Order: sequence, then structure tokens, then C-alpha cells
Amino acid sequence: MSSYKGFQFKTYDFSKKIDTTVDLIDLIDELVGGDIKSRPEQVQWIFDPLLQAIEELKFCQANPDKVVYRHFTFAPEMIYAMDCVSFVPEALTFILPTEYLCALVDEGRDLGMPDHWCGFLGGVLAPLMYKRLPQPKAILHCNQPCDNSVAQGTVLAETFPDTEMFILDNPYTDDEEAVQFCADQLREGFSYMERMTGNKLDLDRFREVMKNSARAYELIYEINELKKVSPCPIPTSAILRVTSVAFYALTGTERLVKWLEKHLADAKERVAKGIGGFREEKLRVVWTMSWPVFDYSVYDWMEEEHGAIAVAYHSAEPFYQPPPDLDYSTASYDELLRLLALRNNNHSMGRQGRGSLNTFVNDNIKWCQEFKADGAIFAGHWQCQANWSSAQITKEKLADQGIPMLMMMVDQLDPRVVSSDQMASRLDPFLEMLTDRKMAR
Amino acid sequence: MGALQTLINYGEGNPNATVGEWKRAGDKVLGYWCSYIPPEIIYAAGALPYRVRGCGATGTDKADHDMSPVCNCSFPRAVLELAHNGTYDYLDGIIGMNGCDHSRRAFELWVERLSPPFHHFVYVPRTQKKASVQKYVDELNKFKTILDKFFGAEINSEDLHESVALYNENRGLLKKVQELFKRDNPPITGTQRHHIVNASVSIPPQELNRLLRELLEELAQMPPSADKKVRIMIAGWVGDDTLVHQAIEDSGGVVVIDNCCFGARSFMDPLQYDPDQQMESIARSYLGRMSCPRMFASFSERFGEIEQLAKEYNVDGIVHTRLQFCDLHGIENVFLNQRKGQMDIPLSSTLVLDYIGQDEGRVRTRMEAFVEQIRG
Repeated sequence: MSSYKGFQFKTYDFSKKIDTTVDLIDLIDELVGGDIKSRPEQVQWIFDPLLQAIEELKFCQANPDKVVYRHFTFAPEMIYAMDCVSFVPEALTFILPTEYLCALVDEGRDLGMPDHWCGFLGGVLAPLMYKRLPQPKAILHCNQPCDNSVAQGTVLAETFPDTEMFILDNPYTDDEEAVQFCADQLREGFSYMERMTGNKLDLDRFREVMKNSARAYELIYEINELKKVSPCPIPTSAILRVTSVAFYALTGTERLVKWLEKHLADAKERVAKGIGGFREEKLRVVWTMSWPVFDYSVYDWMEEEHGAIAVAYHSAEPFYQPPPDLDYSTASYDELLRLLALRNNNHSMGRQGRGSLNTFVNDNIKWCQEFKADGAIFAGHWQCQANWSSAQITKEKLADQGIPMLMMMVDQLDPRVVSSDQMASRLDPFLEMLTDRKMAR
Repeated sequence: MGALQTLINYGEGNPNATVGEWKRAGDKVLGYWCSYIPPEIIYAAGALPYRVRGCGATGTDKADHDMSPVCNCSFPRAVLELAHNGTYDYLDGIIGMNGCDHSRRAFELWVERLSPPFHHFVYVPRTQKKASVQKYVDELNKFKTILDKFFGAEINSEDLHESVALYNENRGLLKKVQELFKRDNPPITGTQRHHIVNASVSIPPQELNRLLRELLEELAQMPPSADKKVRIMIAGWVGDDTLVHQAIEDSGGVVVIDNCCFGARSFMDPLQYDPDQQMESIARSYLGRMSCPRMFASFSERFGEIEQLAKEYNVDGIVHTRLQFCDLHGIENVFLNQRKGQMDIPLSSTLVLDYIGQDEGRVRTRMEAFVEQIRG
């Protein structure tokens, strides 16, 4: 069964024998990159960050001496500033076709991985341990957003015992002390990068990267402001994976800035013309935690069946405010380190995972209010335990604001945990209730 | 009653009898969540440090309201349940830290839902980088200042010096008890030793030292146990619970050593204390001691410790345990499996536990089979 009340969701064939030993980078290039290139030219630009990320994966494959492993919530600006390219193992699981991801998760379980390990990190265990991925020149890791990141550090340390790692201790608080702590560590990080890569840090290059990064944040901030308009000019689901890849992987690059400029121009034009998404906006919903990646037709169903437009996503989009003004042509090393620390401390998902539960709660309340949500959906990624333990309080505090929240469990990547049908059967009565409430007002 | 029985009673009680005496004397008791929070500082402030435990919880209904049982560890849920049901009402405050995601959130939920009279969060880094060690020093200094304010009196360097000396004496005496397990026939069981360790984190350190000295005298007179038993090491996490110890020992084994935080990890390394650099030395010592998987990339070091302890204690088999939903211990299974060939000692497949222990039968069957397999 892959349909709910006649709506056809994505189907899978898990009986097919998957060859997990194939080169995953080639596979992604062929299947995901190929799919984007096959689309009409006028829409191809929308997917440019995904293409850029795939190009970087290909670059890593061809230039092993430049590969720096990076945790997905460690800001990539440091790597760009050092003229290297980052390789994020978890990005593979995020982009891979679902059947491959599931086969890799099973392979990880065969190695003894705990059953509760999520698809996001679990899918990468076997490729790492079987040495199917490029050898790193250096490894930048951190301990946010969850314990699994710490455990992933064990995997990296055991897999690459000869490669020293740099680990960022992400702070708990959001005060100036926390920023300084992060900046002090990043200073050690740059020394580490110089030692490991043989490249010398060029301050001008660092300035340029941080300027691009700041510009990217200014642009996404403006885009998000426009998304508060009703009808939402760009329903988030349409470019969810692309925006996510952009801000987890590409900040600091000029190409991302160019893409965001185009994205902003498009959003402005849509607002000016009063254009929303493909379907009429009847309800506005915010996803307050994770969101299923394996089947985007769930969002189509929500729009079609209930006119429920997803206007914001907790972990996919950067809600980090644009950084403070700075003259990048003269900015000092210390000033840039401070900015990079702010950037790291406010990384999507990391910020809510590393800190106090009040950060999670308050961020979600703020987004739901600002984006004028009729309802919130907490699709708890099953291994995000810290977020799960924040959900009930979030629900109660959102209720105080008149915003109901649905809680349900998912694995973002693995439909075997919760399928599209199961999600729909939870979402359906919730969205109906939101509609009734709205009509009663 | 002898020292052994007194310590066992203290270890079994949550709270134990010393807490009442302490409170009646008008002194404060502060609960703390994890072994990376130095009790030395709390005691120097004049309070009894009490490591919070889940022992006594019969369910987790109230805790589950906030901490979903489908993905959260049962130990912090049990602790939180006891906070909800009033067991911890005697505490004058609670100290949390970022040991793991589960315990961090359980502490925060305790604060959010129950508004204890005093609370503080100590951030403990997971690496020993220069900036991270300095951050921990800053955190400990901040902790001291906050305690100064709470108690209305400054912890001076002599207070801290004395407190460290007391706790180091605790560790030294506990290590002496532990070393009795190097004998072929240890005078007490691993279960009894585990109760003693539980007592050590919840009674006044002076009283502990007195009882441990008496215990060592008692044990010197005690005849060794008669039977040759299968010598087992527990590696991983069992918490303050004794079910695994009991299951092993009821099956003809004896738990001679462990590397657990409610266990050898808490006393094997003395605090490397420098009176001229008090907080710096405390911070370095805590970050650098026998480690917990919460510390980054520390598996190799821990594996080396397991190998060394297994040799020292002439171990016949190692039981690897973890609680359900623990990521940090969970991943160790993969690498223990990879390296088990290096040790030439049987290693159990991971025994996944639920803290409340409803599955006692399963644990007993597994341990019985493991001990039997070694005995041959």
C-alpha cells in the first residue's frame, strides 16, 4: 500500500538486491545530477546548489589531497578560506536514492550498529568502515546537534587512526562567553588546518569567504521575510533539499550568493504579482523539527488535500539573523573569527540541539508566530532525543499562543520507520482540525 | 552491624540514612547528575554532594510525559520520575551537565517542571584542547562563585584543598577494596562492591573513609570464598543497578572489575591535584582520567584500559552492556567486535538493558549462558 485515500505516494522496491559497493559519488552524480540536468532549462537554476554540492563531491573524488572531512553542522567557511573542499559523509545519505540508503543502513546494522541509529548517520557507517569513501587529509568535527555526532567522531577516529581530528566543542549557552570560546577554538582550528593541509591561511581569502557568507545570510533573511506574506510566494517544500544543501554546505562561496540573488528576485516578483505555490493556500504550517526527505509527495498531498502550505522548516532553513555590519576589506583576523564563531553557534539544527531546551522551544515559538502558522508539525527524527525531550513543552507553549502542534515520529530518510501513508494518516485529522478551527474564526 | 553491611545499606538506599542526619544538622544536600561534576567543589562549599540515581523508581509515567520512552534512555527518565514523585524533595538544589543528551534534557525538565530551590548547569567540554580545558576551568570557577553566593560564604583554597584530600582518600581506599578482587577468591562479591561504590557517591566523604578503613580491616579477617568462580569484567554502562552483577554471580561468576562510571571509573585515578593551580588541576584531571564515551574519539584509550584491566584482574570473560537508546556506548559495540580478536578473552554480544529492569529473565538467561560457555 502506498496510497492514502487514493493519493499515490512514492513506492519502493526493497526486494531488489542493491550493490552497496558501487562508488556512491558516481551514483549520486548519475542519478541525482542526471535528473537535474534532464529538467527543462528554465527551472534548472533552482537546483544549482545541489549541482554545486555534487561537483564538490566529484572534486573530492579526483583530488584526494584536498579532501577535508567536515561534520554537517561545522560551518564550511573555514575550509573554503583554506582553499580546500569539504566532504560531508552524511551528505551522501541525505542525497542518495532511498533504496540505497536503506541498504546501507542494513549494512551498518550487520556491523553491529545499534538498531535505534537513524538513517542520517547510520547510512554512512558501512561506507566509512569499508573504506569506500575518499581518504581525508584533515577532519573537522563537532559535538552538535546530538550524541550521535559524538559517536560519529568515534567512527571517524577508528576508521582513520592516522588522521588527527580537530573537534569543536560546541557551547551550551548563547552569550558572549560562548562566542569567544568558539572563536578561541577556531583559532586552534586554523592552525590545525595549516598543519594538516600545508596551506597557509590567506587573510584576504578569509575576508572574501566571510563576506560571501554574510551576504548569503542577508539574502536568505530577505527571502524568509517574503515567505511571511500570504500567499507564501515560495512554499518551502518545493526547494527544501536545495536550500538545506546550500546552507549546510556552501556558505562562503560566490556561486551560492549568485543563486540566492536570483532566488530573491524570483520571490520578489511572485510577491508583487500575488503568486503563491501550485495550490491555493488555506493553511500555513511550520515543521518544528525534521521533515521527511524520502518522499516529497507528502507535501503535495498536504497541499492538495488540505491546502496546507509549509512556510518554514526548523532544521532545513537558516533562521540565523544576518551577521553584524563589518568592513570586510579591513576586518581583522579576530573579527573574522568572531563572526565564524557566531555562524557556528547558530548553525541550523546545531543551535537547537546543543543548547538549552528553551532555545529549541523559543526558536520554534518565534518562527510559528512570525510565519503566521495555523499549526505546527513536530516530525521528530527518531534519534533526535534532545529535541524529542523538548517537544511536549513546545507543544504546551505553542498551545498558549493558540497554535496547535502535532507530534509524530519519523526517520527523515528511511520510510521503513514511518511510511508516507502512516504520516498522512496522522496528518489528515490534524489538518482537518486546523481547517475547522480556521473556519470557525 | 559491620562496615560491609552498613555500606551495602547505604548503597541500596535512595536516599540513605546519612542524608537525614546531614539535613537534621542543618546542612544542605546538592544533587548532581554526572561524574564529570567534581563533588570536591560541592563539599568544599559545605554541602553533601549526592549523585542522583534512579534506584527506587517503579515506573516512569510522569517523566515520560516529557521524555518519550520510544527514544529516550530509561535511567534519566527514572531519575526524573523520582524527582516528580517527591523522592528528591530533600535536595536543596540540583546540578546538571552535558553528559549525554538524555541526562542534559532530564536535568532541564526537572528545572522547568519542578522549580528546585537552586540549580546550576556546568558545561563540560568533550575534548582536551587548550581552549576547551580553559573553558572547563572557567566553568568550575563560575560554579564555585555561584555556590559561594548560594551558601553566603566563600569557598577558600583551604576548604577546597581539604575536600580534594578527602575525596582522594575515598578513591585510594576504594581502590584497595577493588584490588582484593585480584585474588583468586575475592572476599566479597562484585554485587557487594557495586553497592559500596553506590554508597561512595551519596554519603559524606569522611564517613565513607571511616567505613572503608573498617571494611578493609573486616575483609582482612574474612576467609576467601571457597569456589573457583568465572571471573567477569563488565564494560559499558550498568548505572547504580546491580541486576547484571547479581545475574552473573548467581550463575557461578564473579564480577571482578568494570570500567563503568558507577564503578571503577569513579575511583581508579586519583585527582592529580596542584594546590597552586587548584581549578586548573581539577579540570585537567577530570578531563584526562579514565574516560566516558562522552569524551570525543576516546574509544582506543578505553579499549586499552579494558585490555589492561582484564589482564590485571585475570578476567575470563567480558560482558559488554549499555542502556537502550544510548548512542555513546552504542557505537562501541561495533569497534569492540572489530578488536575482540586482539584480547583472546570471550566478549559477550552487547547486553542492552532497560534501567527499570522489567526484563530480568532475559538478562539472567543471557548471563547464565555466557558464564556457562566460559566454564565449558
